[in-house]
Amino acid sequence: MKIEHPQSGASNESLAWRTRLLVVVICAFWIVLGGRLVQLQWFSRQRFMEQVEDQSTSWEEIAARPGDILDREGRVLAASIAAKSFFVVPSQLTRQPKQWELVQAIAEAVGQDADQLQARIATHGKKHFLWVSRRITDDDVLAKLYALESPKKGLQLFGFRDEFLRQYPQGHFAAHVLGGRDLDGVGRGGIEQTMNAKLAGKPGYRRLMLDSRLRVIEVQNDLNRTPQHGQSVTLTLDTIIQMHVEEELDRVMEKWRAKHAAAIVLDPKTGEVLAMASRPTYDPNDLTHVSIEAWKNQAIAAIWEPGSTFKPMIVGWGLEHGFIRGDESFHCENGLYRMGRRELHDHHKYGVLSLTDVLVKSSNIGMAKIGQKLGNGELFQAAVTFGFGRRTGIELPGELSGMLAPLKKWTSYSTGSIPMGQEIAVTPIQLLAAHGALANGGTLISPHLVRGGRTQPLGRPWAEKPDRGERTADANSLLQQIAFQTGAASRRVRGFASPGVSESNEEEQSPALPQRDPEVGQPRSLNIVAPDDRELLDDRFDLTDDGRSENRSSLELQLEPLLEEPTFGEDADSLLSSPVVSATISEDVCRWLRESVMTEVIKRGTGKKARLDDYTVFGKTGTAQKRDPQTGKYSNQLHVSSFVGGAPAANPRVLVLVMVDEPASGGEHFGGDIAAPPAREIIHKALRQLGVVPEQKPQKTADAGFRSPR
Amino acid sequence: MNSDRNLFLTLVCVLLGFGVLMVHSASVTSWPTEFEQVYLSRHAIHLILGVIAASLCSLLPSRFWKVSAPWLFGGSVTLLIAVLIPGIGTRINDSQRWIRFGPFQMQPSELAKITLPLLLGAMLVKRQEKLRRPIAGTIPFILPIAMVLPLVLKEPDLGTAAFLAMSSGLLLFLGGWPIRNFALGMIPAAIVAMTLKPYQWKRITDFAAAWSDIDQASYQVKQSLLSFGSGGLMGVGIGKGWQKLSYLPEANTDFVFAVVGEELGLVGSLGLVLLWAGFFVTGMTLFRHHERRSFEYLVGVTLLGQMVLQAVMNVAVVTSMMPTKGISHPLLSYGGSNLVISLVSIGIVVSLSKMSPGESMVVRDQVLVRSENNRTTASAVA
Repeated sequence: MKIEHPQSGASNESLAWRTRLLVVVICAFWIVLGGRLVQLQWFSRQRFMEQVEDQSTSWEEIAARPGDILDREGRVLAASIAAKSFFVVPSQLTRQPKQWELVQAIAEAVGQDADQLQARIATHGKKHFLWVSRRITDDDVLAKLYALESPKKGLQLFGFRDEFLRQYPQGHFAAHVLGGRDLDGVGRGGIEQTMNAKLAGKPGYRRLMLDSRLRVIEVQNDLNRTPQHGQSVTLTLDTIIQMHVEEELDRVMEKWRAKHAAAIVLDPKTGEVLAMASRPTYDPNDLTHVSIEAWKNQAIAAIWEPGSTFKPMIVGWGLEHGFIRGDESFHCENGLYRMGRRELHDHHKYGVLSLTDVLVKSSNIGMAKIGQKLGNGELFQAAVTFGFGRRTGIELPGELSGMLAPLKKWTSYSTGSIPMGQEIAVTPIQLLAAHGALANGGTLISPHLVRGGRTQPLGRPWAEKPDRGERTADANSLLQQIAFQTGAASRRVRGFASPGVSESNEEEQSPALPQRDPEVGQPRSLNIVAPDDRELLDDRFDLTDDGRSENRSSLELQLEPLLEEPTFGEDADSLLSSPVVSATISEDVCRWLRESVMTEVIKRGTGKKARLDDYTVFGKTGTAQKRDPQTGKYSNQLHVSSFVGGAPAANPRVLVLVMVDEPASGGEHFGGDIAAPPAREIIHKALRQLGVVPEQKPQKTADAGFRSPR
Repeated sequence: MNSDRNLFLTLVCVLLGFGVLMVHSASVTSWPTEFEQVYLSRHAIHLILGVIAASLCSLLPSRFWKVSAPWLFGGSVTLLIAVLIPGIGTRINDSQRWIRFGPFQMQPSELAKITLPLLLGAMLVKRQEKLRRPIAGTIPFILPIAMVLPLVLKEPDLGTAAFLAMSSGLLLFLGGWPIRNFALGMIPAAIVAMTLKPYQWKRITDFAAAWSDIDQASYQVKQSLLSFGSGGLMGVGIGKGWQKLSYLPEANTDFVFAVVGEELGLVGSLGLVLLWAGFFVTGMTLFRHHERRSFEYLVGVTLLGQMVLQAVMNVAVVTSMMPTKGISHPLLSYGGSNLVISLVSIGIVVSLSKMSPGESMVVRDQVLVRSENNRTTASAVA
């Protein structure tokens, strides 16, 4: 048998290796694939799992409701309402054969151009999300959109999201204070911007499981984050006063066809801004068509050479530090004074004028002579001490710091220019804050808009340190620094002040600082309210809104005697909510300036048109020449007319600034003619609104000269 | 002998059961439709049809296959021609591969996977003496291949064509075809490669890029790899897979193995690999006593080998080790005609593994003698 079939056996053997090779190759294949599986499922699993999660989950934002903005009485200035926004899914839509019909239907519903919408969808063809119309308020539009039907069942081609529409029910009312919210709900300008962190809240998220066609399969509730709605912000604004201010400004703009105008109402004791308006203005409900000109808040971003309104600060400084005396007289050279190579002119020719009359008649020559007595160094110190050249820190974006040249750049010209309010540029809020110091007895308070303390100090040295202890310490050192610079601690007030007064001033400045700050938004405990603490009592009345004005009036009467001598120390608690205070000049000088000089300005000087029958108004007018943009010289046509004033003179409750830039019609340009009448209206209506009891006709304050407070 | 066959059939049943389970799980989608249940019932119907056909095939004597091989081949060539005729063949996704029979449809190219090896095996046994001749040993064998491949390529179905070429090569290799013929065979392969369509080339080049950077991979392959990765060691649990719901295309057909990877993890996927290895090894033991040049041995091992290789290729594709081809996972994937064909080839394998009574007597003797002298028994068989 072996011999018969040798070939067969041999060939069997010769073919056996082929079968073995097949087995080996297949086993090798499986081993390689097994290795590959280990690599994929063991070594790469982390990375792949993340990728799977990444592609199949999506975080949908749940909008947070922005907080309301309220005025000091809780009236709504800005509110948010829920609104639907409509989006499409371009990545799915572009794949649909009938997309054009759908796009047409959408465009027709929302009132957009179908071709443009189609082009937009095409350019974002790979995206999974594209807004078409946001915050839809029109019910008809919504009904049309709801009626849309997806051509393919179960495929998400479009959808709605809930968002919040910001509404400013009063329109352009206080627009520059409020600012606005852009399309993405981000605060732009005004309080909306500076307090955005508090107002905006934090959006929530919803974790969605999506399939490859972006359909939501599952909502993973355990990983959701609920939105934190924004907190409300209460402003110091008083809607009624603001309304009067808006009205007056509208009237001014119409009457004088001015380029710009601004008005601010300040409570000089607390630094609270009661009203602020700027022209031209805009409607915060629609930020898409706001011109740059209208967007600018003139009250904090207009700068001009203040002119006469600056003079009281210089005179006060001179009196405080004994460079001039209250009973001093100045020869005003009959309207022409040569100061070196420079010729100074007065509007009217004056001979010898008392210090009071230098201010009442606003003699430039008289002021220049005072400037010569002080010298550049003191003039500079005066300007710095009253806060010029730096921002006040009001809670608004875009505030300018004005212009105060460094002392080393001053020339002999400056000695004459600065005292009459030239060579220095100020913002309305700066000037008002400086006058606020005169009105409240010498304390420069940073004006503010947010009630209950500020949560976000702006441009302050301690901006990065929220710790309250440090804040007080910083304020302390700041004050010491100022005291050191001005030399107030070492100098005696010469000429009219008794030593006791100045000493009491020095002693009482320190306790005047806010030693404790009220917690933001936290109701103050009544236990800590001092009996004579007006501010805190006022706040308490805020909580009980009914019959507030009645309470207020009776309180006013009660407290009147106390307030006769409002010293810094006793009033300290009233400054609780005003974080920045610094001493300027003494109470006595301030009172003299207010009651003897600035009331006279109203009575018989340039500010006659601001006079009121039932309240003693004090104030100062300003008529500044603008530099002609073409020649660079002072122009006779372009002016900035301004008025700063308040009432009642004995215990000022409101301080008003009205600034009118380039009044064009009527040929008038004096601050007393243009800015004083609206200011008078504002002062009057504000006092009425605040429930300030009309005074008796004041007894001859003008002749009293400077009175010792005790 | 019977116990070997029982083990083999048991493994086949395990694979089939696995398949039913996975087809059911993988048919679930993110947007449920009535189709999901339809998939399972269709799979079950095909399974029953396939098992009946396979049983019938396994009962036929092996001689039947040898005799009827040319007729069966002729029939499948006819069908391959018929499918290309518009009206008879059904066009799906730009390929004309299916012929409808009432509610069922079949792919003639799948049928060729059985009939071509049968014919080549029968020819090889007949032409043993002429194998080494340059003309008589090559042309007759190439002729049937040359008849089938262009028809399949015309559909076009590159995957099946390559598969048919591979299994023909396997059979000729096992049957003792001279090695030089394989070297020459490379030439037409190179010509075919040059005539590939761009999208076919892209499939080939895509996979290599994916080794280094998964983002380079085609969408399907990327999702398949992600499915494996997200399965990890133990898997997310059967029925709980996320990828199959929408991201992984063809989850219940060509990419069913990726679903196994995601739902049963590395344990499941390696377990399946071991099942296929066991299937192959036990299948080979059914033929260990057959003469290596016999028709039964050649065709049986080829059918087994091509099934295992199909599984290998499918796993290689879904793990991005091979360019994307429309290759389903035998016994596991949903897909009517492939399941039926796979079952029929198992039936034929069983049929071929049974020896004629005379032969089996000889084999019994052989077993006894085998332990003493291997060489003697080998010659004794003849």
